[in-house]
Amino acid sequence: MFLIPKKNKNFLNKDELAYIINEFSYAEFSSALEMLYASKKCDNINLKKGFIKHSLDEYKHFKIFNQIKNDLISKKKYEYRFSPSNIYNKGYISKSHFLFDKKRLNEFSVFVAANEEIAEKKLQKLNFLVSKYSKHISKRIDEILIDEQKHHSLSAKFSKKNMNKFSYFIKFKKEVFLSNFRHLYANSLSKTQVIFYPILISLLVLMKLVSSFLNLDQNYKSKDILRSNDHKSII
Amino acid sequence: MYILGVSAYYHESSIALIKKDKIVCFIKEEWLTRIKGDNSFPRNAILFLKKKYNISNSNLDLVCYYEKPFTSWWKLFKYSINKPIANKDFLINHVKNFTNSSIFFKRDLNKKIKISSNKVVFSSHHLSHALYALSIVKKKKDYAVLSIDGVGEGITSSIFNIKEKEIECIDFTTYPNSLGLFYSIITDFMGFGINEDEYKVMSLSSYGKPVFYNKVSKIFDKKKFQLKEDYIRFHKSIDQSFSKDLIKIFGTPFLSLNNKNNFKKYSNIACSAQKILEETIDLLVKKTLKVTKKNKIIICGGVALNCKAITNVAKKNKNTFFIVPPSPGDSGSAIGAAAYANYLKQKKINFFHPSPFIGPDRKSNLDKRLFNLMFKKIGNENQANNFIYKVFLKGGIIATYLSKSEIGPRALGNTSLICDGLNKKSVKYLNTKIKNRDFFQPLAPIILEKNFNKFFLKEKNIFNNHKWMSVLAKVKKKCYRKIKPILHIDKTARVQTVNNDFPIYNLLNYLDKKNMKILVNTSFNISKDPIVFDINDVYVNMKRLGLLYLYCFGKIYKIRNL
Repeated sequence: MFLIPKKNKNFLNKDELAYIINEFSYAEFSSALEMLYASKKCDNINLKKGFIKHSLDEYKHFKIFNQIKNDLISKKKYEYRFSPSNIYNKGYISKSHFLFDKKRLNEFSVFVAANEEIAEKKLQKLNFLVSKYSKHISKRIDEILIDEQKHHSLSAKFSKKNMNKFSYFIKFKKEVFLSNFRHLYANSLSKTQVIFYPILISLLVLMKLVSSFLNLDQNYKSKDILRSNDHKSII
Repeated sequence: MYILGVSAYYHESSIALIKKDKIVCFIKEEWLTRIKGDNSFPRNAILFLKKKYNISNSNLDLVCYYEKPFTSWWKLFKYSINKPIANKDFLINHVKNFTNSSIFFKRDLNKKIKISSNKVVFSSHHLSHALYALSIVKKKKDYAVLSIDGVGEGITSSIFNIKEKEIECIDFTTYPNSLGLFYSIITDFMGFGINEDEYKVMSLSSYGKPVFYNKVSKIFDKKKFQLKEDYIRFHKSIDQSFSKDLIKIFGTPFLSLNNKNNFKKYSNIACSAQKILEETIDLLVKKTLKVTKKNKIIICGGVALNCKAITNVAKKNKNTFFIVPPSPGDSGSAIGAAAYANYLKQKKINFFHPSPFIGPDRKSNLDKRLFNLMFKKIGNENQANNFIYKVFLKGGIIATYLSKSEIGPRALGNTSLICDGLNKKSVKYLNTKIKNRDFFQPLAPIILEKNFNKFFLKEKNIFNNHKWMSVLAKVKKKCYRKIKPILHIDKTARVQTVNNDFPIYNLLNYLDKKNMKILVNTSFNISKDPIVFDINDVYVNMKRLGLLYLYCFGKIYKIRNL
């Protein structure tokens, strides 16, 4: 769930752009993983091929975004580091499942179609902001846009082949709504923190008092640690 | 009946399945999710084993988690809660993660495989390290074990004396005084990733001089084994592990190493930190040998991955026999946990499994239909070796995919990218263009064990570790010019030796006869990705890297377009 340039923003400095592009690179990397996973789990050989090709495209986009980020940033910063473990922390992939595990093939293809369309719109907005700095970078984003359009149309074509138009329309709108809701939720997290932060800090002060009464220190030095280890205990 | 060992939630989550004192299968979660260093509950790995070995409550004797979950969570909390306001960022994150922590291991396990509660047991963090380390040696009571890592259950290093049926913990150090965390804050300061890029600091250290030695000594006091709180922030913040005081002594963090001055400065800092690390390990080794009165030591824990430190410490203790297992970090502890459960059943420490090739068997898991769409066979077993020889002569690179995955972080020929080690152009191309590694990181050579003496100086007390690349070797002076492409700036190489136990032996033996004695071996992955696991990963990675040829189960294949 990445931070997207807001509609009313018509200018971002290079560092702000780099931050957003870093989020795009996480999103593309995560999509590559979802597609690669789908290629391993589906049975149809043509679908396997399709998912692998899609995965390769997403990996390519990830690489392009990383290059753009490195071109834009004025100096290295913690926020710009790409760390694979952040894919979970940022919520791009669930720790409990891949999407292909949870959705049926038809639902999965509608999900892909809807999200590729959303990505396309957000990329167009990003491209507008980036073009103010570099036409070269803008061209590279155009490359990605062409791929996203292809992914959208292929997924939509597959979905429409396997369900009626009305059903596709409803499911598509539902996915668009859910996806927009997820982005809204992600962008609002910092605001909700303002409310919860003071409560959490008060709780911490309380916990300090409680913890001072708890002594869980064990004597780790032991003649025989194999026997002295209480294997049933989590302490 | 099976025993399952699990290591998860902190570093690379892994599981090990054992049966009758033998490892049946070992899997890292990252192999399946493709997220490097995946530390989530190993759901995919468990499902893989469930499907392949039909494991269930009825055929599982015990499931052992590698440490005490609550102690691990509590010790970090307890340290930071002393100053709840100052440490609020860390604490809020720590408390928020409570329900996703290892404390709920049983809950997470039961979602994937229903297990009776009395079958779930818990080892201890450094004990699991020690038991894995002992699993690769036969006469266990001859050894002392030194475990050094970041932190586990609030303990940062432990000394164990191994007896016939007992393991005695002689000494330990506690959080936040940690050699692993000390090295991590230096890694973080330089803009590299913690728990990912410590090896880069190690490589960089060879370019520098210890001009910051006195300053680094202020951060970590080797005699007291103390990491000064003024310089750390990992107990306060989740974003940055070092404090403003550290910036005061070293200057700006995250500088670009492409600038000559920055490179010189950072390599000097790295060299100074490496020196402190080596001297501290040396002190711990000497203490271990003194109190246990033994001359064989196994070093484990994440810090043992620093092959330069291990090699230099071993040089100072020539009469001591050193072993560093192939996967000394938390990932290998899944085997240690399984070994502990095995001990609970048998009351003996007899678990022995020295092979580093313990991943799932690749041939039996291969989707042949898909494989044939992806690759075209261009030679049978007899022709393959000659074909590879010709590719190498032209400066080409081959990907390998043989029998089983390697357990540790280093590819040992089964899942590697290889090329002629003496061809300067192809080594450079593989290193900087294909693998996209920094220019200061050398690639490692792979050679037949019998050829080792021709190029390298043999240190008897560490020689065995070359099989899984845990140590460095000094190159013979007369060979400097000849093997320059694989030589590090300090004239060492992290050479891997191969005997006929290794699946890649046949190829190396053939090339040896053609007088191609040194190859380069680097892991078959892309930066920030785990090593490839199945054939889909192989195909995707070959396409991403622009590679053409795959050496697979003794035959050679060319990649097709899908």
